[in-house]
Amino acid sequence: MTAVVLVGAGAGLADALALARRASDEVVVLAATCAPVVELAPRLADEPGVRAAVDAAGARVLELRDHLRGQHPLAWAPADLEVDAPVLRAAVGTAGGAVDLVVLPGVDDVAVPVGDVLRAVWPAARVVRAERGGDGLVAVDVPPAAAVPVPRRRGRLARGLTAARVRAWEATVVVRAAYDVRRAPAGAPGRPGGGTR
Amino acid sequence: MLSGMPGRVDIVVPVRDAAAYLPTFLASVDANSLDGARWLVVDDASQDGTADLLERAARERPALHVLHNATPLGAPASRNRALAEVDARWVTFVDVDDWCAPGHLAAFVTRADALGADMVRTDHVRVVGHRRIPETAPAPVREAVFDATDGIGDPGGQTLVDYPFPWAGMFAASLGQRGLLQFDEGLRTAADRPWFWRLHLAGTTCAVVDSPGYFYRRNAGSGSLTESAGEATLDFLPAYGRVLDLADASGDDRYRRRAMYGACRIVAYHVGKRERLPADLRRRLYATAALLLARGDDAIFEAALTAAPARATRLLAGLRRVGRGAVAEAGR
Repeated sequence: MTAVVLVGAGAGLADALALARRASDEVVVLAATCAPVVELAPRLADEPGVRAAVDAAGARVLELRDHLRGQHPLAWAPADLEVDAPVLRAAVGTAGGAVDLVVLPGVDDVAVPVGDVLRAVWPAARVVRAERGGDGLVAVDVPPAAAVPVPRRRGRLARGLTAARVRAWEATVVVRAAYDVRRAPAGAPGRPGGGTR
Repeated sequence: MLSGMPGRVDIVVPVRDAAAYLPTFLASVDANSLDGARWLVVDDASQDGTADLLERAARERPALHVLHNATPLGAPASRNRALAEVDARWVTFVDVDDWCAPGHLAAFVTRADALGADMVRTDHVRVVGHRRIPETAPAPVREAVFDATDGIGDPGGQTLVDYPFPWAGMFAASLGQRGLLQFDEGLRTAADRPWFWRLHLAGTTCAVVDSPGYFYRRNAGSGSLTESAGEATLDFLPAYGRVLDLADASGDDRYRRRAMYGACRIVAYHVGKRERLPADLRRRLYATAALLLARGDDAIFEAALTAAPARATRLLAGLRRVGRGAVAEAGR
């Protein structure tokens, strides 16, 4: 089975569907509405143009957000998959893990992060983009996003230095507060009897 | 209501210079149509065309009523102005930059009708960029009515009294007749803190229910005064002064401990985010916090401090010492 990811305004659907149909008789389109306020936005899966293209290709269409527990499709992340992955697999109807190809439209980079999460839903699937070149419509492999290493300071010396700096800063704050509380005229904000503003 | 029949729910919405958010707000109104609902929108002397846009929208939406302030009065006074117009059984609140999932309002009112508590609270979803973060209303029980003082709790963690979101609540309009829904107009931010404490200590009942979702937009562009780093940010200090007053007036040390814990926690939070404040406000924060934390007896403060964020306890204790010293000096 092939899953086609459709995002944004739905551009690139025809090419992605054509590529998917070459690979499989069974194609499901995952429509990811990407409006910032997705909860109130029209559903991409219900767009007449999308419906027509999907029907013409003999495919099925699912609105992705219906199967994510409240998350925005563009913020969907592997951390959400404990709940979402079984739901999505069941909705697509491939509990046995039969999705072997995920096709992203070639015109819109916004689909790439969604494709990356789908890699974790169906680990055996190849993720490609449908691109048009001199050889016509071709599948271009999309590599997994590289994790960005976060440098962390380690070691007792660094921790000791940090603790000493925090203590020094706390002492400065307390001394300043003592000075400011006494300096303000009686009845002024921040002064006893003057309110706390 | 205009028909002369009391409505089911009035929704209070203070608005200022919010033209950019109106399309989403109006979509939220349209997705939450409900018989007997009335949206009371108070335009707080906007300068960006908000007033005209709202008037135009109201012509197409009979449930949308627009009030105008001639000069800016702030969110608490704007809410109070709308509260004076309330004549439904329930009142709730919406911030104009937030939105409700379709059907949220109907489900929320239905549960409130069924349970009949004075306050019915619900969860919400915090929106940061595209990310949705579910926030659960902390409650001793769900889908059942309990004494609102049970929502105050002991120091530590979050309890219902410190879940300060009026828009995640449905309130019996009869509370307004007792003066319990009025906001303190002297507080530009954090007015909801003493507001909730007063409600919880007024012999009211409470319930917590599920609902399809209120989406709370929390980011720099949302116009949140709490995040603005201006002078109004520090209004959390007098707000917590009022909370301590209310806890003191209750005569119950349990509530005093919880109120002082809340003060410690919010001071620690703002001190942790001090870098966003200009130097003069930062110093005012420290000095005023010292006086706030100086209140009450040592046993209450120690109990509160035990549950306060560990990284801040030394500083909080230091600030209290400073405040106590200044109070003692002023008394001599």
